[in-house]
Amino acid sequence: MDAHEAGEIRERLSRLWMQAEPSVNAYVFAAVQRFEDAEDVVQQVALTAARRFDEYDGTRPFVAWVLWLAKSKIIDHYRTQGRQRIIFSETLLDQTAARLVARQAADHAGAVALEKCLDKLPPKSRRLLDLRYVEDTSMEAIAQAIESTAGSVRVMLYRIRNLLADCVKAELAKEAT
Amino acid sequence: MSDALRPNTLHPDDAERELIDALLDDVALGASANANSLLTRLETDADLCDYLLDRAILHAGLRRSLNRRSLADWAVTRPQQDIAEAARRTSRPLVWSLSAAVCLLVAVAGWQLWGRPCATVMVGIGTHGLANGKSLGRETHELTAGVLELQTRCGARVVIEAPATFRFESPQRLRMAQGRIAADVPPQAKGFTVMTPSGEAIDLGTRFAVDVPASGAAEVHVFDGEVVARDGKNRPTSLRDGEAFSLAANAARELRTAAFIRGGEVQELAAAVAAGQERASREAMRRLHADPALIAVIDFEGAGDALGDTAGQYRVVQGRWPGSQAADFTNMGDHLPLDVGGDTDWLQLTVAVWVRLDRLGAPFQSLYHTDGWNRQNPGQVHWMIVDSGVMRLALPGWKLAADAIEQHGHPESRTSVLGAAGRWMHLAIVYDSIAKTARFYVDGRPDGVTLLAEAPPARLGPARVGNWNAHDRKLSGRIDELVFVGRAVAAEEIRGLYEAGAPYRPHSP
Repeated sequence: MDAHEAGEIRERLSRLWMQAEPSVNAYVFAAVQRFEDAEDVVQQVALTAARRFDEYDGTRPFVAWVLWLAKSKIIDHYRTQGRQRIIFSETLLDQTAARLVARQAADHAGAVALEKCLDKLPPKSRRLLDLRYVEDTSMEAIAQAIESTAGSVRVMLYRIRNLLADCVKAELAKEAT
Repeated sequence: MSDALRPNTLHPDDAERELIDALLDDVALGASANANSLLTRLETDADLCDYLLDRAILHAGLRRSLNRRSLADWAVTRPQQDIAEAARRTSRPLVWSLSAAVCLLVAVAGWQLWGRPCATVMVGIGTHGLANGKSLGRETHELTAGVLELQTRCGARVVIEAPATFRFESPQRLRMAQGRIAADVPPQAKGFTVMTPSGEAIDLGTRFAVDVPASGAAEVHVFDGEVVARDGKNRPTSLRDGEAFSLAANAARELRTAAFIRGGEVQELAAAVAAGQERASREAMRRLHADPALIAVIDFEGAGDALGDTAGQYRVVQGRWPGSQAADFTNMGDHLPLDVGGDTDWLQLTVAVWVRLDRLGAPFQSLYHTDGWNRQNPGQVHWMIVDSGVMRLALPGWKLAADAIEQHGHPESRTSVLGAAGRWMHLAIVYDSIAKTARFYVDGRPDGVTLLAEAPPARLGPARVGNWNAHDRKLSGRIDELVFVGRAVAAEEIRGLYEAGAPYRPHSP
């Protein structure tokens, strides 16, 4: 393989991975609970995809192939974690992968819309999200920090996510018109 | 969007969906009946499964976006903040873009790699606590002085210059809140990524650099190979050799060839510090301060500096020595106002400076320009680097000698001082209205003498370094230790100044 050919392959892989990345993230974040674990699994998928790219059959959707790789990485991960954790069955892993493949190719519009929606969020809600997503704080610790109960924190986070989900949907609809 | 914080119970229809959030939030559902029933329902209920995926997309998006925002805030508030706390807060994001591509070590070591050090210090110059051989994990480092060369576990060579705050998130991902980094990335480390508050740079091989100022836009510079830059909105831009890019502005920049210390230079800088050059330099400056003919020294170190409280427009960055200061001129209009030498007629004048200059396409970089320069005002000093890279002294009222070889009518040096990769250089001019000569020196060596038929005394006064008329004659690079002496300093003294002040082992005379 000459340098030119290698460059073309590299560009093709980059393009395909960028398109597939949001689906891989969703898949892994659904099936693997702790942020750090999920991030490590996604990275393993990226590395494997790069290493085994010559095995990819270009007539099939790339996202299907890469989710298939992700499935085996998730199962590898399950083997290393304790029994008390949630484990998706193979059936459920296949089902979620199939539904992701069936969706329209994700683009970055969703990410841009999310940024806009986060800007509209009141500071208290942002603080709660920061505690959860940046500081990776447990429900109990968040509850302590804001003098509430873990149950209430769960409800608050649920509502904030609903608001954000609705807002993203509205932003994307605006874009489409 | 404000009623979300009102805690109360949920409508029963929400219960199952809230359980999905609990699953994503790693609430200890364990092998509870609730969890088992949810997992079974997900297998059979396509709508619920879609809901889970929508929620997971949002969940992953929030993790990424909020971490990036946090890093940006952190960079702004950093001086007031406990860095250890910040390190804990800025946990890993999930931007495993295209690439994290092929760190071959991972192929061998697998996931276990992640518990191991990310990089090792190869050379540390003035970096207290980060000595050679030290392993770096995922902790935050604040480099207040010096230069650090690291090798990542995947084999990338990385040079970080102070002031810098950084943290490895993995051998392939480096988070920078501030600092300058240059990376040399071999094939097995392709995908090495530098994250900044305003975006990130993903290397596709082989040499690139990122400048993350304490405030303002981070820039990506590609010396060789290809890099994908992603701005704060995650828009990718492909950059190739010789291209530079501002992440915040999402716009092209001029390549700054001298802004970054690169691999090969680190060894030389380390050897000079080890050989006591910094001490020798201080000693030489002390002797210079005792010279009765000294007009001014501008060393950017504050006390004793001829600058006083003069406000300029430039960035203060590290000078030649760990923890020392220099002025960095990067944007059109950056300048340093200066008023030295008063109203005196200087029959002899020597000006010397340490510089680190970018090789720009644009003509004329200003080293020193008096405000009062015009053809009716003899002796006003303008010292610059012209487009061919040689120095020029433009001093109204002079006339070249009949046998002078200069082609452009001005005294000029002979060799270009703008190299492919910028380094610290010592430049000097010695103007002598009595002997009617203008001499140029580069790194202590004579680089041309211009013979003059007429030579008025030199005049200084209000002037600018780095620019002349706000948008003309832009200098791109660093200035350290600018010296004015009211006599014709001899060639061997110039060589002595260079040898004592060189941040490298000086070449033999």
